[in-house]
Amino acid sequence: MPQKLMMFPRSIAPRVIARREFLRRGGLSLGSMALMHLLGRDGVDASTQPEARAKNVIYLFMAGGPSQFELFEPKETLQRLDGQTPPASLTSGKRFAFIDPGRAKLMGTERAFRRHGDSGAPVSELLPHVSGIVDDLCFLRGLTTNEINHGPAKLFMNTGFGQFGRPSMGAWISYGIGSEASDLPGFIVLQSGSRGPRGGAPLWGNGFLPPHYQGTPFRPGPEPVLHLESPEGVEPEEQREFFDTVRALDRLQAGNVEDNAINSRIAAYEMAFRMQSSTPELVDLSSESREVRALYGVEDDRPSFARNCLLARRMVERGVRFVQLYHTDWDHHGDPDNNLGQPLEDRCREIDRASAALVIDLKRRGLLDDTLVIWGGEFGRTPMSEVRLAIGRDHHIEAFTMWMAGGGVKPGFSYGETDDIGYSVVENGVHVHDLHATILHLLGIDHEQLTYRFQGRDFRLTDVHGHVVHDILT
Amino acid sequence: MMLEIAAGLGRRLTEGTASDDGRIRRAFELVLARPPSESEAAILTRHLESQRRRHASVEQSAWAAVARVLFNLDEFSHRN
Repeated sequence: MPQKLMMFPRSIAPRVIARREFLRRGGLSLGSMALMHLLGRDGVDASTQPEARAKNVIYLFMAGGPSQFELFEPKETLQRLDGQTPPASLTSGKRFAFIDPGRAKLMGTERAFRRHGDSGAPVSELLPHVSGIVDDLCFLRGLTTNEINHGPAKLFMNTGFGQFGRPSMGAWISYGIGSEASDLPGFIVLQSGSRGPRGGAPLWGNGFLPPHYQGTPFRPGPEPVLHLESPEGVEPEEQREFFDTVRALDRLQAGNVEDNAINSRIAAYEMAFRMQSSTPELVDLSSESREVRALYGVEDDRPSFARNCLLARRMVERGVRFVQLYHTDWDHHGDPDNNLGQPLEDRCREIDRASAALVIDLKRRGLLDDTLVIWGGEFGRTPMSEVRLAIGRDHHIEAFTMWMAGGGVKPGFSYGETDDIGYSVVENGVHVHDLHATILHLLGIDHEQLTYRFQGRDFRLTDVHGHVVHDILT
Repeated sequence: MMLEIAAGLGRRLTEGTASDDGRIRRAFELVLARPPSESEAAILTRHLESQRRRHASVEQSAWAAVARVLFNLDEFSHRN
C-alpha cells in the first residue's frame, strides 16, 4: 500500500530568521537539542514554542484504573453517607460500565488516611512510600476522561482518541523533538503484571506517523528484545557487513519507490545493530549498588515493576525521550481476584516502593528537574460500591486523581477539587486533552503547532481541544 | 528459521555450474521475482566476495550469507 506520507506540519512558510534569532538567544541548555530537532521541521514556528522545562518523560501507567478513594481522596461526607443510594438527579444521564445507578450505594473507604509532608497531601496507608515523597508530587485531583471502558480509555489516555489509529503521545513527542539516545529507541515500553494492558500495542503505536516513532516494547528478563543477539557463529564484523549490504540495497530501493516506510525500515535495522551492544549493557543491573537496588525493591533478576522503574531511570540517563511503564490489574470491580481488599493491597505493594524510589533516585542524581514522572490510570472508580462476590468500585470518568513529579511541575502542590462525595469536579478540572497539552508544553512543544497532515487534514495529539494547565507549572 | 531458509537457498545456488553473476541473478529472481539492476548486482557481488574471505572453506556459507541479505530486504517483506 504505497502511501505518500506528508512529512510536514501545517503550511506556514518556514521562518528562517525567527529560527536564527531563537538560536542566538541564551539559556537554551535544557532541551535545546530537542528544539533543534523541532526547528528542523519546516512549518513549525520556533519563535512561539514554549521553553522546554522537561527533557524526558517516565509515565507509570496503572492499567485498570486505581481507586482514588482508597489511595488519595478521603471524603468525610462519603464516609458519612455510606450505604445510601445517591439521588437520581446526581446519576441521571451519566454513564456507568456495570453498576445500576438506581440501586448502587455510596461507599466510604475502609482505608486509613493521613496527611503527609509540609504540603499535607492525604495519602492512604496503602502507599507508605509514596506518602513519604508527597512534597515532590503535584496531584491532579480533577481529571476527567471521555471513555468508560478499559481499552478505549487507555487509547484515549495515550492517543487522545478512543479508537485505534492515532499516534500515541510518546510517538508524537518523538516525532516532534526526536531523542537524544542514539543507541536506543526514543520511546520504550516496559510491562509488569499478570498480562499486557487492554488495548495492546496501539497504546504505544505510531498511528499515521512514520513507523520508527512507535514505542519499542522491552520484554521482562534477560532478553528484553527477541532475536537481538547475532545468530550463532556470526561474528560482529560479519553482522556489520550484513547490515551494510542490506542498507545499501534498501537505499537503492527507497530511491526507486516513493515509500517512506523503507526509510523507517532502514532506520530500524540500524537501530537493531546498535542495540546489539547497547541493550545488554542497559539491562545489566549489576552495576547498580546494593543500596539502589534495595531502594527500588529490586530482588534478584526477577521481572517486576521495581526492576522496570530502575531500568527507566537508566534509559533516561541514556537519553531515551519517553519511557512508559505499564503495571496491570488495577481493575477493582468486586470479583474474587479484583476487589478493594487483597488484590488492591497487592497492587499497591507492587508499585509503592519503586514509584517513590524512582522520584527519590532521579532527584538525588539531579535528573528530576529534566524528567517528568507521571503516575495514573485510564480513569478512576465510582464513589458507589460495586458488589459482586467481593466489594469493589465501578469505572468512573467524571473525576479521578493522578500525580506528576519533576520536569517543571510544582512540587508539593495539589490542583483540582471534587464535590463532597468525589463524584464530580467542582474546581480546576483537567481533561485528558488538557493533560496532553500540558505535557507537550513542558517538553517545549506547542500542542497546537505539532501537527501531521493525514487523510486531508492536520491532526494533533489534542485534536481540536486542550488547554495548557499553567497553574501547575513552576 | 530465516537462517535455515538462507542456508537452503545457499545450497540450491551452489548446485549446478553457473557463474557468480548467473547465481546472483538467479537468487534475485527466486527471492524477489525480478532480475537485479547493475548496481544491485555489484553490491551483492561485493558482499559475496567479503563473505568468501570469511567462510574461506565453505562456498555454500558465502552464498547463504547472500541469501540472508535478500530475505532481509524491505522489498522481500513488503510488497507495494
